[in-house]
Amino acid sequence: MDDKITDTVFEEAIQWAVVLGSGTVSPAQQAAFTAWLQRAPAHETAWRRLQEIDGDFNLARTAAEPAKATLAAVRRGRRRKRRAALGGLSAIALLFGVALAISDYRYQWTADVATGTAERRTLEMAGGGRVHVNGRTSLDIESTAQGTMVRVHKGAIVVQSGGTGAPIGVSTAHGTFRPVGTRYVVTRDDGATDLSVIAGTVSTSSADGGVTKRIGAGAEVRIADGDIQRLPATGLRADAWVEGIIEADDAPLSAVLDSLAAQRRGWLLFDDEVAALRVSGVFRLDDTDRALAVLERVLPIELEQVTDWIVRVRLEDAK
Amino acid sequence: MTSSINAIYVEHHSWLRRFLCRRTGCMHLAADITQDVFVRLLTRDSFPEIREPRAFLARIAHGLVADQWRRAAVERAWLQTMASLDFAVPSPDEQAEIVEALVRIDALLGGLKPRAREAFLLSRLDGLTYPQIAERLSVSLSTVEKDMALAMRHFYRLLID
Repeated sequence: MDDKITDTVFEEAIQWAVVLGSGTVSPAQQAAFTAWLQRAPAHETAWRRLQEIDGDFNLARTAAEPAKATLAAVRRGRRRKRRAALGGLSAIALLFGVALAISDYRYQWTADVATGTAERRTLEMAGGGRVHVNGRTSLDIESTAQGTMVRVHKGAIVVQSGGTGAPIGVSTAHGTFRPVGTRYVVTRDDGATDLSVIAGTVSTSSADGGVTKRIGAGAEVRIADGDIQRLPATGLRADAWVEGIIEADDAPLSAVLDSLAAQRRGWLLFDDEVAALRVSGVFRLDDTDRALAVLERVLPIELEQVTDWIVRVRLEDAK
Repeated sequence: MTSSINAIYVEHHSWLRRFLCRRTGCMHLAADITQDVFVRLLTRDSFPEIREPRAFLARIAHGLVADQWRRAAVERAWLQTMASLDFAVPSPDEQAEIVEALVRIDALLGGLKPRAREAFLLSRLDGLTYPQIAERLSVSLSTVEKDMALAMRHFYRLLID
């Protein structure tokens, strides 16, 4: 571009701007500044760049009072919004001890595929096979020499290999999954990635490459912090959401409520005693209000609509 | 440089429009922003090496949308200020220029710590000398000088980004 301005030159320009902006400049200082300005072309370039800022301020100065009032009002509005958001969140977190996952906004914004709440999609892959994408999921798709890689930033997918195409692998911040003719589910949370293998086997490596295991059909594992751990059965069929349902077989109610919550706007809150209840059945994901009503009928629980956005689930009063 | 923008345009502009359509829920707005993103690219005086064009385009689009929000907030605040207080009202052209300047100033001031921001505004908008600012803010003269340098370093980093 123009003459290279080193950090040192720029810092000198700033120091001069500070001196000259003080409102009390001596003739000696003025002369020293002129000498500095003429010593090198880069000095002048740096000085000009710095002056670009002044144009806007000089213009605003023609209406200094309303300009200041406007800037202050914009700031007040912004602070109010932020405080309202923070106040609401901390009140909920305090009352119910809910850990709120702030979604990774960056990926939501730049990912190849990003789904909203309760939005499920099926991607047909170029080499055959499908990737089912659950709600609140973001991912990128890359073609590599070894085949297609799906990079999951957040959320859950079911991978169904098929056709004669190369296998569809998956990676997250926690690990990498390479399948051998198979169907499997990858769920990426903040601190860990879970794998459920439905058919075939999946070669699974931690992100640092330190641990690699072959995971067979029926098994569920969690990768976190460079380690692969087998998970106890959750009682939920891992890929049931592809069909738009939750299939629970003696599952903890917390697992069912978490799955329902992921399909709803707002929050679904519940106490520990509620979380521990066991439930079996099939629930539809596209009508979570109805699923909750069914649960309320068959279990000793009560639903309370706290606000439009918050439903609280608690144990029925023992009267 | 223009040819590489051309290549990016041909390859990614439909993706960007679809992507913004999903994001904003409005086809026309998505088309407008897409156009603005490429105008922005063509009018840039420096051009970084682009390794991930889609992330790069999305970042510019994100900046444009944020700019629109900022402009709307500044315009609203300006009109309210004009309506609510007894100021001499500049001509419409002058007002438009001042609002543009305030939009850029608001962006520059974001992220600057409150005292440095206040000191800089007292200097550049009120025309106070450093000793006067020091007195107004109840700090030492050298603190004012440090805050002014801090503000200018902050602005410069934003400008060259």
